[in-house]
Amino acid sequence: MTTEILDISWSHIALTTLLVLLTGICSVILKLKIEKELFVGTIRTFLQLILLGYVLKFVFDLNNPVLVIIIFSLMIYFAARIITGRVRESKIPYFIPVIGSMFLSYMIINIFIMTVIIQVEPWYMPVYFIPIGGMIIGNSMNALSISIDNWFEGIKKDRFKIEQYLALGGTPSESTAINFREALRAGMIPSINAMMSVGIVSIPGMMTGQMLAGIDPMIAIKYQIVIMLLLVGSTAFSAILALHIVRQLSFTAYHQIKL
Amino acid sequence: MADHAFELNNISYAYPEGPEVLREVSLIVRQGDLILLNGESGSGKSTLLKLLNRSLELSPGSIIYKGHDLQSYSIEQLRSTVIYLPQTPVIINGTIEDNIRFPFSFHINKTKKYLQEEARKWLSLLKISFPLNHDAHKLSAGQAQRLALIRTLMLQPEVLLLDEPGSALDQKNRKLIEQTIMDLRVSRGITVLMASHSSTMTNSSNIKICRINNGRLHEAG
Repeated sequence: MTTEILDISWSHIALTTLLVLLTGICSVILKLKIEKELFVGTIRTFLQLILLGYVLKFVFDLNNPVLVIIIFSLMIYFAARIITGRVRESKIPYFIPVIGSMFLSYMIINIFIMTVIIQVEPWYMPVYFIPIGGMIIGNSMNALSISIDNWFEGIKKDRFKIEQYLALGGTPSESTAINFREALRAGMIPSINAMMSVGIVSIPGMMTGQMLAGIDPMIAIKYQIVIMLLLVGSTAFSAILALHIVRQLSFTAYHQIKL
Repeated sequence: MADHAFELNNISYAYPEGPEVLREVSLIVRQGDLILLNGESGSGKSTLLKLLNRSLELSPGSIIYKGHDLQSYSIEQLRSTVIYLPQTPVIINGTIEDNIRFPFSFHINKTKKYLQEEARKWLSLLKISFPLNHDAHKLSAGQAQRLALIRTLMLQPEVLLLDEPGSALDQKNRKLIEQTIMDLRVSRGITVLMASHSSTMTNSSNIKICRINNGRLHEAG
């Protein structure tokens, strides 16, 4: 089953802004005061996506591994910036370690998917590498911010208990074993929930996109299964790695809590 | 000096962005001493105790422990012999036995049988008449404080840093804990530094009483 994808004209796209306009009118009537955000958000959606379109077209045409890695790294950098914005802790300098663990785990997993599972030639083919990389980053970013935030909040909440464990001779790892597990679990739960609900509650974006582009649903499903499993793995690896480093950073060399 | 457990030389301490809590404190603690630290709440008693096992990091001054600078000991070495017990006991979810055993999971090899036998001895000595599998969260405040003390004592400390161990307890329970501490000091030669602003021990002999006022330490006897 292959169908020709239907293009959408710019005038029809403009017509969909009517929905935002209606939302804006609701905002005025209900005094939600989100008109400005709606306006800026709409403009940004247009600009960012058009820009992305041009960048992707350029990158896809050029097919250069260095450029692909640079784009991938930039995506990770912006994701790490978003994580630090969401985590309510500013005393511990975790930005560099987090970005490092993201880069390492996402790169390994993405290359594994490209070379072993999908078997793309060459491995960095941007039309595969960047969209799949983007999905990894987008999902794991949420997991990482939840895990790291949960870690810091847990340490603050259990400070007294942890200090007693340390005073009784426990190392930081031994004294925070429960907090570590809780933080990791909190970050993992959304990916696991997604696996539970996929196909029943939600039809994922990638699969929808492939089907709209005329791909056989069975192929789209295979891709989606790979993506779902990949997201769990990348979320777990990056969170375990990042949390290990964040845990080290949360204590002095003399086993004292820095927070 | 050989019989000195601790020598505190002109130590001062201020919490980050806070005023100075301790000012030029000097003190000699001999092995087997029982030192009672008196002073108002917030006067720096807990801070002083926490500096001795490096729960807090000293800036000016020096602390000598058994003839060597405190900094020369590894944290593991130091905290296996100089043990701090906080004012509010930390009770983990589980049984009395779980609470007694958890510090032994931190790199201390003792058999389960040995720990159970020791624990029973201590429980009877400190008048906790529940079996080892009793839910620790069902203990009264006094029993929980005694359980925390048992856990600490089973680690066989050389120096015990007690932070207001009787503050939340009634007179009877407080006396029981303080009597145990005094007996231990005699029978095992443990050095004890105890922060307290209302102790029944003040009338006992062989106790060095120090008062901390405005961050300065004054030896009273």
